[in-house]
Amino acid sequence: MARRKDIELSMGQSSEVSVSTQLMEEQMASSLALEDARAKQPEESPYAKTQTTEYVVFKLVNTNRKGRCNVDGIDDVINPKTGKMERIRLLTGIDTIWQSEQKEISADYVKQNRRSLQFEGKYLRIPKWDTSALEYARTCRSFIESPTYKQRGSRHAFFEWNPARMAEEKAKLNGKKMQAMRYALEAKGDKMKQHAYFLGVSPVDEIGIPKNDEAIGNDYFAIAERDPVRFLESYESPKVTVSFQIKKAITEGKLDLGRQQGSVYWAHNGGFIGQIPVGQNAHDYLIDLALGHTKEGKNFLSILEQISS
Amino acid sequence: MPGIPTSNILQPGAISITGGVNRALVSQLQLLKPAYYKTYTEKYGNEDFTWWLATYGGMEKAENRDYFWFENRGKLMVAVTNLNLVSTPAAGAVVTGLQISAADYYSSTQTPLRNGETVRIASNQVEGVISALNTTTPGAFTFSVTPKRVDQAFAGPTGSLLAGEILVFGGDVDAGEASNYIEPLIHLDQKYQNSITELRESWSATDLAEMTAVYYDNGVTGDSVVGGQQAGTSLFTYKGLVKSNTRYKNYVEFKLMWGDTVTNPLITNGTVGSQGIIPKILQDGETVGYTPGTLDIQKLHEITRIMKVNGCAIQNMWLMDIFQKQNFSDGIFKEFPAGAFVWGQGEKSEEASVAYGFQNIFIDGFMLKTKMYANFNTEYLTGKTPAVDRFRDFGVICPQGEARDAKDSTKSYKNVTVMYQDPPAGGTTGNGIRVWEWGGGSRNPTDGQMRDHVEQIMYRGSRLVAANQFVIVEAA
Repeated sequence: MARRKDIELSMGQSSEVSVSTQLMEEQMASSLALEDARAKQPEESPYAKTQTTEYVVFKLVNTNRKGRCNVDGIDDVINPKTGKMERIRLLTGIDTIWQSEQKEISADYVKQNRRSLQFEGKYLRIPKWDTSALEYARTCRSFIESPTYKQRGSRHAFFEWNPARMAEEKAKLNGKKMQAMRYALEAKGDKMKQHAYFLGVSPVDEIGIPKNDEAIGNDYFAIAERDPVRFLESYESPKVTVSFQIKKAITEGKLDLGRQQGSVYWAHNGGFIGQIPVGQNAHDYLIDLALGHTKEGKNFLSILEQISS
Repeated sequence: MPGIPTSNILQPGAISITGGVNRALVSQLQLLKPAYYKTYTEKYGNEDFTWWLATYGGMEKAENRDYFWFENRGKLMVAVTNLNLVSTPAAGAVVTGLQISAADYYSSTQTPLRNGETVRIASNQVEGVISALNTTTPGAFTFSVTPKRVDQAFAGPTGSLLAGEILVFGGDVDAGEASNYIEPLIHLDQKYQNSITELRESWSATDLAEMTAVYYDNGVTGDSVVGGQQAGTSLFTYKGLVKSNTRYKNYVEFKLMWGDTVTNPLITNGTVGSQGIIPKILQDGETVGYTPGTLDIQKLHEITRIMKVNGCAIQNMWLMDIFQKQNFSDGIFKEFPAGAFVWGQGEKSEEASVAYGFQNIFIDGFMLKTKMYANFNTEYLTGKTPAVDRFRDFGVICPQGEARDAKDSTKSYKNVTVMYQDPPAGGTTGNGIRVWEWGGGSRNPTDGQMRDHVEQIMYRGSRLVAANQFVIVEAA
């Protein structure tokens, strides 16, 4: 295939773009100077720190926000040293944020050099060397750990993103998941079924046929994997046994819920158990009654255990 | 012979009072003619708060409860963010192993990276070309960039390519001889949706209530609804119906303005609610914080910078609560000494044109028409003062523009539209509002009980397009 450079060659023209030797040498000198300058800086200097470009990340609490959020660079906050409300201002070129310490700064300078904290996509990254911005972020009322936030709240609340803590929490959750799944695999018989029903596993399948133990066990395991926290909170809890007994008593007609709207009676002797509060269902009410510390509750639990055995 | 019975004749029929008849006796005998003002006085003025949506928004019929629309996902011109630091690359050398930030992925296997794409570093406009692209690992694509000049390193002003550097795409330029095709950049859409919600109000009165005359006989402002007049004649119950109607209109406005969707499974009436205009802007628009008392020209510059980036319309309405309006007046007014004010629009010194009171300001190419929207303040609406009010020191800048339909450029949508669905037939329906009367005491007797019921229902939602062009200005 004929190429342009073939044409140029045959016409006696060079197709190469030449870069002058002098320019190359100047560029090399600049590169070397930059490298040497970096090498000479002690590690503690702010300039050296810019090279590692470490950032502190903050995240908006409101995860619904997709647009940008600009947090103003002027705020009135409680000074932790004095305990009084003071004004802070984040200004370019000024290393303190406290207005009381920003001496001899003209109003024009303040106007021209105001800064804001800009959250893009819910995140704000501040380089570690920008100490005044970091101090402002951690002091302003929108920072959820600041004393001013605790008093007044903020519409632009944000927190410091801590990936180490997130990883730690995630590891804990994974640990709980493994533990829950192990318990679910080891549990058998009535104990497994009682806990499964408590967690919401249906005793029948989608067409109404009662499930066998293996099917219930499968669903039980799935809940352990999906919601290990709830699984472990209720594992071997007395609430599970009581819940099962109450459900069985209702199903077998030993507890009469139909005699009077909003009340529960014993079916065998018509004895009054209690009045169900408005907005609560009978099952939850009876669990609370049985596990409560009232005389009526203890009495109810005692009879319930007798009729269940 | 016994006398004639007279026990039914009261005595005494007269009394003697020192000084004669006095006012107290007349009052005791309940003979004082009441002296009253026949006109009813509405001491809080006109409490119909529905003006903004009706005048500013459009109306459009929705065929179904849920409706959606499409907008472009992002800006037309592409840029990505460099993820990792590359220390002092050499001049002319290929920089390898580059990655972009997670936010620049549409899904784990979809990015705008193209082999052959020219990229420029935003901080110093050094130009390079993507010379290799490895898409093996989802969410962690790597690419190489070759600087176009042999005497330049593909690095920022510090000599390194820092994490966070923005790389602006420059297209398939300098494509070379006998160039091949480049993979296309595919423009992405984003689907947004909202829903209609049910808005209802009821009024009722008994027969006797509607038959009772009261002292005042006029002074009630407002109208009863078409198709919903009361059957009786009492001005008191008529006033109740009229005020109920006005309150209903306000409820509808407030739901569309700052109501939200219903997602709690404990609410089992089948409603899904509707996302209001303010929640939509808070979610998808821009927010600029300010400190009360410091709303000045510099803050306006910050706002207009954001408006420019988001392609906002030139003409905008800025709705402000009472406090922000006063902050604005003081903060901008004090920038301009008395005597320097001229009316805005069309005048010569437009950049300095602020009229105290009505307040148009033309700044940085944007016309901002500031208006007080006192509905933001709970004190104004209800007379109660919350310690913390959501919309205190709050304002929203709304473009007075239109957005073009992505498929048919001859069509355009107003930025804010009230969507409505026609209610089922029956009663009187107008403007999407269904009104009907029922009850034995109504003009439409339906049963034996002498009560007069007036019902209203409408089905409304809002559509806010290009929410990125709206800016919330609020104190922290």
